[in-house]
Amino acid sequence: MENTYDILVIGSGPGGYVAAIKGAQAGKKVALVEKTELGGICLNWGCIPTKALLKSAEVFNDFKHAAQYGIKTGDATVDFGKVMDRSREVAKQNSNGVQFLMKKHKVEVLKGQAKLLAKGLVEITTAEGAKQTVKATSIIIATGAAPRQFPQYPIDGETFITYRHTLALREQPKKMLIVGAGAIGVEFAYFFNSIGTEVHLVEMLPQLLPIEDEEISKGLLASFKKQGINCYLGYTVETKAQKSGVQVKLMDAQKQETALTVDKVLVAVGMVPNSKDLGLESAGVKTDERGFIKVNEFLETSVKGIYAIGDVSGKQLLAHKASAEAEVAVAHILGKAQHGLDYGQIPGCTYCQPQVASIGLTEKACKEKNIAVKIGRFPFSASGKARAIGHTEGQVKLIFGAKYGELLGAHILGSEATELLAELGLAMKLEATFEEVMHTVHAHPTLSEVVMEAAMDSHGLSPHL
Amino acid sequence: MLRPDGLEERPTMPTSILMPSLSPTMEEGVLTKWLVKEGDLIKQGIMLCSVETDKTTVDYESMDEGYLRKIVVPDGSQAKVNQLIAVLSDEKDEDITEYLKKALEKSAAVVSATPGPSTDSTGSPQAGSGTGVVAPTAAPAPIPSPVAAAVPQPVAAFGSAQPAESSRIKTSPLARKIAADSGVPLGSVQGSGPQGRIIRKDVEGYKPSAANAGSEATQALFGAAAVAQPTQDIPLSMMRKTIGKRLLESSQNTPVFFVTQKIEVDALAKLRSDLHRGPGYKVSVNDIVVKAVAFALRRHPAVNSSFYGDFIRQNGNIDVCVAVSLDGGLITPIVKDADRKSLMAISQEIKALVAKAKSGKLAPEEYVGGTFTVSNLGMYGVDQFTAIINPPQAAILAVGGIQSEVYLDATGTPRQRDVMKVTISADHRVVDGAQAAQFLSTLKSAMEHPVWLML
Ligand SMILES: Cc1cc2nc3c(=O)[nH]c(=O)nc-3n(C[C@H](O)[C@H](O)[C@H](O)COP(=O)(O)OP(=O)(O)OC[C@H]3O[C@@H](n4cnc5c(N)ncnc54)[C@H](O)[C@@H]3O)c2cc1C
Repeated sequence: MENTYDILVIGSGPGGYVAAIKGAQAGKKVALVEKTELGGICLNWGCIPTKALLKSAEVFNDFKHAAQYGIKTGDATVDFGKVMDRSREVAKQNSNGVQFLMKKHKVEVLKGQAKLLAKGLVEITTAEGAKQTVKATSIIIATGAAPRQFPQYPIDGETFITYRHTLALREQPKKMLIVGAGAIGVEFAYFFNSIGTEVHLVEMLPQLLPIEDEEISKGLLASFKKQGINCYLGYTVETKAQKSGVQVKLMDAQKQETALTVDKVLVAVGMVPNSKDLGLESAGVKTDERGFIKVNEFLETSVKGIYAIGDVSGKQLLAHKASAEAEVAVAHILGKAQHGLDYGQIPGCTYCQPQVASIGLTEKACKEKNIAVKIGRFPFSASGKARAIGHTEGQVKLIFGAKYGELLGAHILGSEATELLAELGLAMKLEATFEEVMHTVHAHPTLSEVVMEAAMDSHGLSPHL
Repeated sequence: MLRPDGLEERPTMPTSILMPSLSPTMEEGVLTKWLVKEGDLIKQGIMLCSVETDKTTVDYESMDEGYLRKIVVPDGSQAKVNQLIAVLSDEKDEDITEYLKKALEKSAAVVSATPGPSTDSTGSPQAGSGTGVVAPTAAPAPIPSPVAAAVPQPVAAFGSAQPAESSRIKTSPLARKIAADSGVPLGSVQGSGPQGRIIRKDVEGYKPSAANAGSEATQALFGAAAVAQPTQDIPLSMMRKTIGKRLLESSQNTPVFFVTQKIEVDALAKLRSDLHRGPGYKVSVNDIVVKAVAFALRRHPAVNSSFYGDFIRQNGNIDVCVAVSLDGGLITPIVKDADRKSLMAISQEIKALVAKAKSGKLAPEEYVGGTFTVSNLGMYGVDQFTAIINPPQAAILAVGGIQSEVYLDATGTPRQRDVMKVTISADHRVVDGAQAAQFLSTLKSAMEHPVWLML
């Protein structure tokens, strides 16, 4: 007899494990299938281990600038092995945390690779090849995504590497080409440059972080250049692997060439959904032309009772989006879902320094949608707190609807930008207008005052500009 | 008409849609909003547009089929009954220019043939779209906004207080601004956020007809509205026009006299509390007044009459109208055969009628007719007042509030009692002073011995 569950979740990333807990909390019998470590990309090979690395870079930078604060230090040096070990240790702690949570909520963890046989029927194959079939009333697919590969960058795990190999490096690269200036590429560029690797960052599109507001990306570019990162925007790349490293030819729009040799090429050019070999066809689950599983507002696929959340169903490939979708899907299974997520209100953060954080529409998007706006800006350099802590780079840019003053978009470049964004997410969720943001008394001196000041500036009311 | 191939063209005929007569007294209406748009395929039974008549707002249902080709009277414009408001055609892209021209000519004849107020805004494409009021300081001309727009002014940008009405309702700041701007009464909007919080999409999706304006909170005394209000010209809604016309007629043409009576209400108050404590039913003072009025009318038929110029009709039915104040004026729904209904039945019926009146959902037969009217301002704490007769009725009763007074009882001892004053306005062509006084005397007895009303 097969085991039968109310809810079977496939994949234990921030989508899957949250769905499992939510289901269990509602009293359902839940199983979670995972072929590797619990916690998915996010906890093991994504968000968390990268943030651990970035902290090492920041600490090192603080030491480099210690004299500025009146602190004398000896020569600080990087122990690359220890930096990487710490990152792995942090990841492991988080993965163990998920294991603990599963036990606590009585979620049965099934190790192995899951495959749909039919609606409500899943086959699980362990690493050793043992198979079992389980039944489930509802199935939630949360299998995530994998790095996109291009033939011109044949990933070999040695010289052509992905984030995954990078996080497992034991030796610090001397010269590195990073292809793709999305969040992953930008974060690694900051990290490696900070610890002394010569970094060349190339992006086909004309801006760093192409989905961010142009003005913010420009600010980041200026900072990156100052930090010594070589940025090539609007460039195409050709590479040739040789014994002594990789020969790289960079070409701009005018076909101007730059040649260099690097020892590693980190390929960070997007992700593809893990929707193959899942047995989707046998169950009748449809995907779009890029392989993302098609879902409705409640994350239900073309087959009733089968849901897909997180990276595998597309839109923003972000951990918090995956977790938020988990809640919607489980609520729908329980018959309690009222509406889906508002995908226009998902924050996006990049954790280089200065940090980049945003939610809502960019200025350009407002223009394209013909929305009349009022924009407020406030530079960190005008903030007392920013000066006190010596982090004066960047600015806040808030976009409000011209007619009603509702917050349409918030874009921050600067120290702690990713933390500062939270109040703007709340403002947007609560449909606050510039008035509520600027009339909220912010403690002095804090960085968060820049948000309040930018709201004031949108209507020419900032006393500090 | 010949087609190039020599065959005669199939004589499809476009159809005119005319402003319907939606109530017996309707002469014109404001087409507040089209619910369909040009190009839509119209089926029988589809709601075409909302029409504000002299009494209420009604959705107009299509009896024809075809493609909506041309909207002649835009949102927010007036149109006379039978005036052309739109044209349908069988084919999606059939040429209607000729037909439209003819139909417009015909319609123009209808418009000029009917007497009544001028129809400047009719057909003018710029006629207001029904959104908020613009402070008319710069423009001395009347505001073209067609709806009675006692809309809160859009709040100034910085530091101004919000209307108190909305501050007690759970709503997002954005929803509040949009509501203020577009005149949506937040009290009537169903919120879809946590615990009914009103958010943007609720206000934007608000349909006045669907909502129950009855729950509209009254403006607080010290709200923004009470502090500063710019001068504004408020266009007359159909309802205001009708109220104005009819009451002016009445007060100019009726030889009216007034008689006031003081009624002790201690017994009535005891009845109310007994009913509340016992069966748990709450009847209002007004419910009892209506019941007692019906009781008295049955015994004084002269007061239950209508004046028709060359004859007086003594009505067999006792249909008591109850004045209900609305945002844009007032309306008097009818409790029919009030003398034959129990107090409980009357109470429930009034509740239902008031709710319908406030949401603009009264059917014409629920407010047209009636043999006597009760107008009660007691809840506003007024002592006494007089009301204007609603012709052809012969009388109306104005009910004041309950007051405490000290009086000397039979032994000369000072005592306290609760009293209420009622004033009848009567048409002297129909009712004489003595009759009115007798009617009031019966009414007083019935209210002071409310157990009579239980029979
Ligand atoms: C380097 C890097 C940094 C990132 N940083 C951030 C960040 O700072 N903030 C942020 O929000 N996002 C970040 N992301 C993105 C984030 O990691 C993903 O959006 C998130 O992990 C998606 O969650 P998920 O639950 O959809 O899938 P995943 O986390 O990818 O989990 C899917 C799981 O399913 C398992 N699985 C797949 N197929 C099967 C199968 N057939 N049977 C059983 N198990 C299966 C996988 O082993 C995996 O454990 C980062 C990503 C990377 C690569």
